[in-house]
Amino acid sequence: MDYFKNYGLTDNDINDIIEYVDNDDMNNYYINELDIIDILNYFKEVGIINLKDILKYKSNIFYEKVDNIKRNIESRKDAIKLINEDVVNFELIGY
Amino acid sequence: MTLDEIIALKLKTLYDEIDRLTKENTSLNYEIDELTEVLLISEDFIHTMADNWANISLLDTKSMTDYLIKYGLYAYDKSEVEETFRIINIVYDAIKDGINTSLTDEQKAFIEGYIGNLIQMIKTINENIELKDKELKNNKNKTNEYDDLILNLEYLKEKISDALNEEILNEDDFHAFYSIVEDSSISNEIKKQAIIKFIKYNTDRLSNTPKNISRVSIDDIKDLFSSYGFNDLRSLKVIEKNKSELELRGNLQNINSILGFMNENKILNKFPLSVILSICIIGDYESVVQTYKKLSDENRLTDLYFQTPGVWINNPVKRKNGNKRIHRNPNLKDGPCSLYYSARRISLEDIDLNIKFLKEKGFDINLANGDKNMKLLTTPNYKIVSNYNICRKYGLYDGKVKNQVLTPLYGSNIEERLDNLVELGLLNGKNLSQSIYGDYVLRYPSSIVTIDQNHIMYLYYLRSMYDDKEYYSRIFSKSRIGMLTKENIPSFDSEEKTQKFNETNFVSFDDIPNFDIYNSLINENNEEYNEEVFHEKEIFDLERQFRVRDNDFVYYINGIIISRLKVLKVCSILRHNGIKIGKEEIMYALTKGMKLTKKSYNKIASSIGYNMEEIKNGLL
Repeated sequence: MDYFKNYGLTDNDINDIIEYVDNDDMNNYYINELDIIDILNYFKEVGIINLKDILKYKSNIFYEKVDNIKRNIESRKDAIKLINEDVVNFELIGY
Repeated sequence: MTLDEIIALKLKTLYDEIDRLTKENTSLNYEIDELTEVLLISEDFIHTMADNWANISLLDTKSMTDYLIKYGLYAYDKSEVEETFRIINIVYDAIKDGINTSLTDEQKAFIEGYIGNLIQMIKTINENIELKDKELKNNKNKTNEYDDLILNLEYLKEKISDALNEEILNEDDFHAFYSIVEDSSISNEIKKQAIIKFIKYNTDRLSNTPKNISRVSIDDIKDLFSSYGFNDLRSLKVIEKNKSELELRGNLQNINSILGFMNENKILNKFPLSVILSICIIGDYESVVQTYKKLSDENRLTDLYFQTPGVWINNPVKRKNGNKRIHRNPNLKDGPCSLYYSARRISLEDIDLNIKFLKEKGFDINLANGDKNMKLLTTPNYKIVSNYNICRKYGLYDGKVKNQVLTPLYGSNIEERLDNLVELGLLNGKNLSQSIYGDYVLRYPSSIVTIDQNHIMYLYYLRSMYDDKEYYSRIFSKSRIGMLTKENIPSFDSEEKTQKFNETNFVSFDDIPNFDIYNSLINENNEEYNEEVFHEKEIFDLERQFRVRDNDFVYYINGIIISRLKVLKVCSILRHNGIKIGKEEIMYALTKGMKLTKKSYNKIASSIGYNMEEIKNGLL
């Protein structure tokens, strides 16, 4: 998961994520690297900052298609602000 | 024939047999439903008539006569019966209008006979339902038996055919293999070949004779994929990333046949490339064709399936307890970072079971593209069912909350987490705290997954340090009402920090002599609490002294919240394992999974009268 480092994560952060997520998530992060990068780039682009928390606690999002994620985030004006406050707020847009 | 071809032959007969049983069960279920409906309508008819025969005008005699003709023993003439009922209705209408008249003896005898025949029909239907239920049960038992055998044979086949697997065939493999020897439909010649090859396989493994691996060159694989249009940089990067696995597990002919079929049927571009790679190294042409046919016939060719390689491969359903071999990942050495893992993660049957289950429970699942639920739908069904039952037990998904967040359904160890959240005053806090705090988890169910162990540890610490008011003001956001804040939570960014904090602040439960023994019993036995546990004096005392009004989820002991469901479950398991429930066991059950400061621990101990020294000296 070295590619997480391109988003400001450290080795410790990556270990922390690996220890927390399940094997299916690990598989997803490894196998679908390019799709995950598309999602991370989108988050970065729209100003979502807590990428480590999302990768760690909201791994379900990375199974989705980036276009669907975009559409759902855009459906709620304050989504980004709320997500930056706490990733639990992904609930508000159905994740 | 090679050994794996012989196994494939046996598997085919088993899959055919399961298909036959499934069709038979579908038809049996349909018949049982139909009979049950007739039964209910007929019983209702009889009850209504038992109240007053004049009710006949309210009843649908036409349908009832149809049922009697179809399911009863007596051959009725439909038009004759309807005519008799028409006249009877006229008589009752006349009586209703005040005319002095009554049914003739013949009409009375007709009604009595009709009801008598209905009672006889109900008896026959009940017998029929019972017979069909029995047949259904037998078929289900057979299906389960075949499922287990299929699972074992699939593992055996894979072990043999996997170029990377050098394990010898063990006792479990032999049991699966023996089903071939026992099968009278397989010729003796094939059985003989199979036995010789089984023995040779193990002899080769024991003498370290390597498997005959025909390694494919990555350049040939790239060329093949390029010929199907995967020649852009992104595609080549994905192929290169999985080079070693593709070279060892790939077979150009197999890959070509799969890609060719996908291309011909215009579905090739609907798959992400990583999914195609997984399918190509584990699946085969047959499994892809079968899945395509099934999904296409059922109009289900959607993103959900194109993004899930396991759907296109002959994967058995994952079951937690049904078969011990399910836990033995035959290619553990590859770990989750492999195409192999991706291919084996889930089966089409598991996804179908998930969809059926979630729909039955009333969840609104978007099946058109799986949007928002991809992880959930591709989680093994047993896990979703088990997590759902746990969530229901703790008050989630009771239909009262509109926003049905499904995250907890794929979480791991959520029961323990739910106990923690109850004890931290964030779930089921009725009559203990304001609902904005005490029902936090009901409002944000994904917090079951997003609050990690370090966070939980620190919340236990804060809870033992401060009174309720101060505790909640520290953990909830000041700017956003009802949201937890992580502002006051230190970052435990190394194991050492966490360990130090743990050792400095919390007790280690040395005071409970059988702590480790009880822990292993609880870990090995996952069962619901048994009502009989209430017969235990110690539980009776807890219930009497520490229950909270209108709250089934907590004991409140000297300011400390303890999950009641946890205590009942732990004590049930201990009882079930022949352990007498005394003070030590209650202390263990109460404190299990908690982080407790010495002060909090002593509070609980003194409240229930637990003193290890006195127990040792025989004073308690």
